[in-house]
Amino acid sequence: MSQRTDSPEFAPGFIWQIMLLTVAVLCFAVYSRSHEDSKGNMGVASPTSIFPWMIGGKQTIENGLRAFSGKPPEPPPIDDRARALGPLLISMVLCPTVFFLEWRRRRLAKASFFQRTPLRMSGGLYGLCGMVTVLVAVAVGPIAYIGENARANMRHAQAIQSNRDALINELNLLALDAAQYYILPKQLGSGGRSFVGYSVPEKNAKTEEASYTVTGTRNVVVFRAVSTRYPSCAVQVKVDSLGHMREWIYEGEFR
Amino acid sequence: MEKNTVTVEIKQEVSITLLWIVCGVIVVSLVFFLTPSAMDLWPSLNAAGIAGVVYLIAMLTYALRKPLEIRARVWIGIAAIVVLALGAFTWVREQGQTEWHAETLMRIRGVIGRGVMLNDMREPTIKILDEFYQQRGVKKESLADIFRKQNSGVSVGANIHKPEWEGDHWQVIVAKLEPSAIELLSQETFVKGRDPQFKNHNGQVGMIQEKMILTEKGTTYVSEN
Repeated sequence: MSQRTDSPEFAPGFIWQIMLLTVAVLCFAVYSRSHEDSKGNMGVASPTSIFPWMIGGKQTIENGLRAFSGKPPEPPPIDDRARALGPLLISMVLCPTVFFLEWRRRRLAKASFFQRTPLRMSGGLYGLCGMVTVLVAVAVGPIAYIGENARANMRHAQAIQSNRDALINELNLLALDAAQYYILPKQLGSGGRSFVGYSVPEKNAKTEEASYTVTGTRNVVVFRAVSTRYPSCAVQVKVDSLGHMREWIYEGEFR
Repeated sequence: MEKNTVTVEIKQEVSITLLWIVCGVIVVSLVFFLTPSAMDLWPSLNAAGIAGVVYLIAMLTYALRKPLEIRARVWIGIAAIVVLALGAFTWVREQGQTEWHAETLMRIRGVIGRGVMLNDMREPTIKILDEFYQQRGVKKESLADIFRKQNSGVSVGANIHKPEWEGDHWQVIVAKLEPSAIELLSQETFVKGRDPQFKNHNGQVGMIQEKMILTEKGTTYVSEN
């Protein structure tokens, strides 16, 4: 007990156990990724990340895509579960524990990183765990900021898209209304094979989504919808006597 | 003798580190695998994340205990709180965002569905109406006659939608076929509509359903659910 037991900070068994655990987790993650890629999975790439929420998010989006195509949701496969747990253990248990407890020991021993003998196994592990811990800690701030910006942009874009979809649906109904005005006889208050005299029905002229106006000739009408929520955005479309819609023009952020 | 004492202390530190890791791995893994999560990873992830945070707080409390100088303890403590708070914030927001994505996909699917239904029901009804009012002479065909002629003898309950691609599951069902009134209806089989209690034509509950009624006075479009 003396010269040999005096220098190493970690028992040899401990080092190997930690190394094996790390290698096993990494191997499993790499295996899972290649396995997943070879299967192909609804077109969603498998993220291998130190941030476990990415894998949770991937699973939710995959089930969303399945629901979109009318397929029932699937429970997360075991390799996805393991790949979600792996980063959690590495970033919240393994690395911070090795780093902080070793940092404390060094701090109390008043020895800095540079004063110690380089290329020691425990030093390497401490450095690696420290790097992961610091990387995760430093990255969380920018990720939160960038994520918030991306979310805000995405929601704005989706709100505009939803408004555009709503306008298109309402224009579809107006096209139907115009077509039957064209077809129905004058005795019923309609055009009798003409669009002359057609106007947007009062209840449809201004809705929650848009204001609608119509111009036209005997055989073609042009509807113009100006968004209520985004006044710089508008849609214009031509409608023929059978209600066929063509020559769509999108303005503003609808483009 | 003094050297022996130092060696024992180092080994203790190592054992304690190992003990912390083993305990942390066991607790977080157990919480992760024991949390029931049928179709989603989030319940397991959230529970394991909370267990991980509790573990981190306990481990940091242990690592930052005396006799470490107060300045280091305070700085590391504050940094840990900030990082944990930002991490939790990002985690929760990310979960909300992916759930929003999945919901948005279904909302978009609903919008597409309603558009396709309206288009699929508008085309045949406008054609019938057009032909009906283009008839000359005293003896005129009824709306139902024209409908049958245009759709090769279909009857009530028939699907007149012709699939245009492999995943085209929409149906346009003839719900009523009388000489002066025709009702077409179309419904989704997996996209929910406004009323979750709405009884659909095919016996399902709460799905999107739209109806087109054609009479000699024109068409009425009803968004039933």
